[in-house]
Amino acid sequence: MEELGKISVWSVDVAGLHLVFNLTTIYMTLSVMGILILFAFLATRNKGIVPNTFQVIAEIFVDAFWKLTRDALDEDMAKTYFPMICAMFMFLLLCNWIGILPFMDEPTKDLNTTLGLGIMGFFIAHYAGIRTKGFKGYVKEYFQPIFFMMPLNVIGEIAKVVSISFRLYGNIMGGSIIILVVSYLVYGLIIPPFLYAFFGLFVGTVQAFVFTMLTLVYISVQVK
Amino acid sequence: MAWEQIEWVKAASGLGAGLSVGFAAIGAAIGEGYAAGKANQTLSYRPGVSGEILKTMLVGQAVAETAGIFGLVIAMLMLFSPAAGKPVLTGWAYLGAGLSMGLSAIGCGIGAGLPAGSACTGIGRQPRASGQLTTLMLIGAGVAQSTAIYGFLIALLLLFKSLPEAMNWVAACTLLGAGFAMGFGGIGPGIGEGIAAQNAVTSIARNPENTGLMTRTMLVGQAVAESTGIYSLVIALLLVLST
Amino acid sequence: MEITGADFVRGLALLGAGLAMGLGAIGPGVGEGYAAGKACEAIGRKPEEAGLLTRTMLVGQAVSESTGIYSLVVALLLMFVVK
Repeated sequence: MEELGKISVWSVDVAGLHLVFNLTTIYMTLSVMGILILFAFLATRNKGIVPNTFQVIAEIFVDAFWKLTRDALDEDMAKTYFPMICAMFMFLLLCNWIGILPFMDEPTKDLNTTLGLGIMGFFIAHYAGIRTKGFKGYVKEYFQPIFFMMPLNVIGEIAKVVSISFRLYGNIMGGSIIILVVSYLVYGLIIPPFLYAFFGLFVGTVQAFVFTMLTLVYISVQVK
Repeated sequence: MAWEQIEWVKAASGLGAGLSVGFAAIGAAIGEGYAAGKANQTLSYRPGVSGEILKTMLVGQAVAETAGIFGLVIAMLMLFSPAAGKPVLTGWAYLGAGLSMGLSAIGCGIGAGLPAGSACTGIGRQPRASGQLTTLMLIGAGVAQSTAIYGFLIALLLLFKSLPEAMNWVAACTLLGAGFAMGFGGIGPGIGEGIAAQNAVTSIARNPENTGLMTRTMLVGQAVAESTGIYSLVIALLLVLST
Repeated sequence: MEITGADFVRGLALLGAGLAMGLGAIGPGVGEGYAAGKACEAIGRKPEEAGLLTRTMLVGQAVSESTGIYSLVVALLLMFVVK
């Protein structure tokens, strides 16, 4: 249990800045991206009326998320943002699931990954808001319902980023620490597979879906 | 200090065990009592499906009991681990573990009891949908248990942590603070997730065709309601791992 | 056991961080759960409005969560800024 909370890091000094990289997260993110690119290649290679296995899986994702995006945004705008939403869900799902393989870690166990995705969603949502309402209309939103509510509205927007990223990070990290501690206590007998099924597959799926849905909702709140 | 180290640790283990099982018993008992009350109420106008209602009530109560059993396990581990040769800080860790487990179990016991009660009412209304109702109740109550599991995790980490020999005020406060953070933090999300599951089960009883949609909405709502519990877990882990 | 003034302050700040996050989590947890419960009830009545209701639920929950976020920020400040 002594290895709890320890990570392999790579630190460099560039131009007077002390930069620290979490190597495990970087390797795992790259492998997830590699698997997804391979999947996309296999799914679109022989597109046909009789789909192959990969095309069927891809169609399930695309179909389900197209419906959700179209319900939340208008048809035009849904076409713009749907690829990002669908890709985000597939990326997060694979990130949360990859931890159940031996010697693999979830990239979402690192706050940097989730905070990065959260900030990305924040900027996309606000960009969409400025584009649809114009800069004046966008700024006016902050002075609703009365002008001195402005600081609270700004804090509320920043709180969204904190909440969305800490939720995913805490769930995945908490799950993986529970699995580590319980495996240590029972010497890895009988119980850990069930914990992997619950925290890896079930909680991982729910949290990936929640993260994606919240990003979509934040965009739709900005453009309405 | 007038007393020996071993006496401090023994006293703290007694107090911690009492806190753990005592607080955990509050939640489990309220939740189970609520389920039993709803089951009785339903039986008064639907005696025909008594077998089904009794079965659902017992299953729901078993889930609500889980948090209480976690509290008992932590109390037993504290009472029966040898106190000789342990540093005084272990006593503070025991207090923190008792608070973390006991308080977080309150919310989860109540939270698991609420869907069990409404599942009993729902079976009285729609006996044919009893399978769907029981499944949704189990999913909802199981998710509502998650903060108790986090409290259990923090308690285990506090119990099995290797601590420095010398007494240290900052470390003692850190261990106690981790217990408070996770313990109190588990109450609200547990009850809130229970309320979400309760209403989801009630609407399934009204309209059983909606099971898929309702399960999805319930899980999303519960995942968001759990987020403050997750923040507490993050703070508690930072506190535990920093000593 | 010798407690210096600085140790005393640091220790109580850490205890305060724990209490801040712990107590701050109670309200948002119950409130967000209430919102989720009512959304489930409403979708049970009107399943065709599920998209709108889910969106409203998530927005309402995000607002009621802000006090939890304040607790988190205060707890992190107490842990990493107060020395």
